[in-house]
Amino acid sequence: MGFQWSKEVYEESVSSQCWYCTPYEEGWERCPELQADDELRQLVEMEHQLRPIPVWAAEIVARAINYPPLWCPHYSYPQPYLEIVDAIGSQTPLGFVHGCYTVDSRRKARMQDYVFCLDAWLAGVGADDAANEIMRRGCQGVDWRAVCRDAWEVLGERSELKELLVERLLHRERWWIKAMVWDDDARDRFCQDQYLGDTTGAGDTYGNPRFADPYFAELETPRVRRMEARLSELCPDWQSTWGAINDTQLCAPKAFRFLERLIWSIGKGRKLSLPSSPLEQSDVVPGFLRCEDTYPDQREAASWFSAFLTALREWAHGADAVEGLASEVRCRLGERTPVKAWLVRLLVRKLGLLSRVSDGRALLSPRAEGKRGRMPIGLP
Amino acid sequence: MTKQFKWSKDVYGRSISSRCWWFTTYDEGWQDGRGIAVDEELQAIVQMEMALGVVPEWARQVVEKSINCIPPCGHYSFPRGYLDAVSAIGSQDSTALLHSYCFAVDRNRKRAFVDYCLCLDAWLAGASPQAAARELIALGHRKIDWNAVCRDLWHVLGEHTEMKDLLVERVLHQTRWWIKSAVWDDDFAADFGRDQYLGDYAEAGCFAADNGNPDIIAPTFRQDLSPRVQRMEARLAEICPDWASWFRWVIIEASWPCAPKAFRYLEKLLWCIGRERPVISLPSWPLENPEEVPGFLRCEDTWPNQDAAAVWWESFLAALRGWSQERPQQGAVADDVNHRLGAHTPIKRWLVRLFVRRLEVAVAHGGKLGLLVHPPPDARRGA
Repeated sequence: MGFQWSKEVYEESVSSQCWYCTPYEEGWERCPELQADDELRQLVEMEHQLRPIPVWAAEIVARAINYPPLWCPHYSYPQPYLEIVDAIGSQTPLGFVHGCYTVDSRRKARMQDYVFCLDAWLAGVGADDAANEIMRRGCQGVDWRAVCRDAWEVLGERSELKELLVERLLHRERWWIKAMVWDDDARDRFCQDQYLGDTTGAGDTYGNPRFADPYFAELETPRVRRMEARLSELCPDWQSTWGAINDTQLCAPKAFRFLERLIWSIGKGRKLSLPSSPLEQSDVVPGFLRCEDTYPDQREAASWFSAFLTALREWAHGADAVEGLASEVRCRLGERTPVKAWLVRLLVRKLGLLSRVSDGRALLSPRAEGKRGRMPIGLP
Repeated sequence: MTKQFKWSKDVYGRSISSRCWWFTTYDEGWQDGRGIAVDEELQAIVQMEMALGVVPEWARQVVEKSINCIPPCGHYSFPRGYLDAVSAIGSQDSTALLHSYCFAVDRNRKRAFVDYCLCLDAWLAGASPQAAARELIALGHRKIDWNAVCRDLWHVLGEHTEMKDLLVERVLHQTRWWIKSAVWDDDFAADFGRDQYLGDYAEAGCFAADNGNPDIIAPTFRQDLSPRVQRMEARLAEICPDWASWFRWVIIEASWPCAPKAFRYLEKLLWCIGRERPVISLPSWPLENPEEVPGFLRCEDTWPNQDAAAVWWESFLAALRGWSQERPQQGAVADDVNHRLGAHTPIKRWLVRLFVRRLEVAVAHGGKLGLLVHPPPDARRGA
């Protein structure tokens, strides 16, 4: 019997289960683009010919391909993408999806060091006194004395507004440190002495069924509400600042750079230029937190991603690359099988849609003026 | 012909046996007509030492470290510190010192404090007891009835006032400081509180190093130099009538986390904060007609049962005495002691006899060890 492209056929397919954070999430009837997508039609037809789909493949679709890093490419870029490739190649679902709202302990420790600096500033000590501790206990390879000196300088004279903004920012950063998960961190390793909101979580799981997202819990705590009530009285541009503080996700590639810009904004009393509300003229914020090693050079990242998509497409269509990233991808995917080819094409379609709609553009299509990082893009 | 032994200040002062009386009345030195001067057992021990001739270096170290630095309160890990000293004598090696000494706290106990910090922080934040309990049930280190702990703690603390909020904040700061600065052999004040400024960093001055473990290299954090702490305390001095005379001392100076009943102490302190005045009796701050404080923190499992400790203590002393007199005792405690001490030698016999005397003096004349091994009948029992 011939294949018929229809709502019923699409909705009962495994291929329909991986479009989170894309326009296709709206479903067949509300997304004409989905109905008209010839590549997707071919993928569902492929799937029909492969039935029954093995359990491992269905799980890769529902968890790994549905939840690659969504709004940004994740700080560990390109690890999450390569892990999906590894899962397909080894025909084994991922034990833990390293994507949205996941952060390893090393990165958390680095953020703890900046939190320490801000906590010391808030306590009222001098930059040198703070540096004395963080130089010995903090991450290696950072000139903490210079960080403290410059951060204190940027924050400048104290005011109720600045102190409250720093306190609010600290609370949010501690929340991310505590609430984000990793293979070895079930929200049970960091900030355990601090009540920052209910970490139980009731939101999306982002591919890790054990951990529901508690994004909003911190915003609803009485302490935060008290702080924000006062800030709404004091801060002339509170709504915009509120949004910026909320969106300090530690899993984002430029989380430390964003913190740097936020501190600048607080200290200098300047509005922050954000992708959602860009300013025509904004300050060039110097790298006073010395955090360039925490994010990649966006031009390099963009170039890598383009090569990665090409490598996947070519492999799915039968090419056998012998050098470069394409060869690496081929090795990871292993022996070509029809199920793997279907999964790879599905992944390519998902990534294509994601890069069109998400903030991933900031990293993968970098603006000319964006500050460049120097974290190497390595192969995990 | 052996030189005749004469008990005198000089003889005592030159002896190695004089170097192990930290935190006892003997630490004050020789006083004519009392104490050391009339202690016949100590005189016999020093005579034994003189008869040994040259005391080897390892034995001198055992006296100065293992015997001298036994915890004056018993330590929460009782009786580990005392058995460690026995092992040091038996193995003729005093290098493994850190456990069970003053200001030495392992990470399990720190985690138990962390859980109570979360409770206090949640209360300060204005969260409900249910919200705090939910997190502790999921993530708490100790699996206890957190619903009941939080419900009762919120009840004990009662309505928020500026004074209560500040006192709880100060307790929280102090507890976090202990968690950060107390040491263990896998945690030299480097593992906890990384994101918290709790006082100016100082390379030296770690309490454990100053109280029996001089070889430890660990920093301290000068709370007194923290402007945040200074602000808190200045305001408390204005609004809390009992701040300088009571709360300040109880919260800051005497809240040792290594003490056996540290959590019970916290429980009683929080009870007083709920009342906004001292209503309890403590050994250093006795009070007539104190209030009975119920066990609302459910922390009885954090200190040893004193009756069991008393029984163990008697067996332990008997075992040591028996071994030194070459009349070995029997039973679980004695078997363990005999095994740790190993073969008899004159030096070990002298050390064991000195250790026994040290323990007797510690219980009779100083420290809080007596409260653990000779408990008053009304003291709340641990589990």
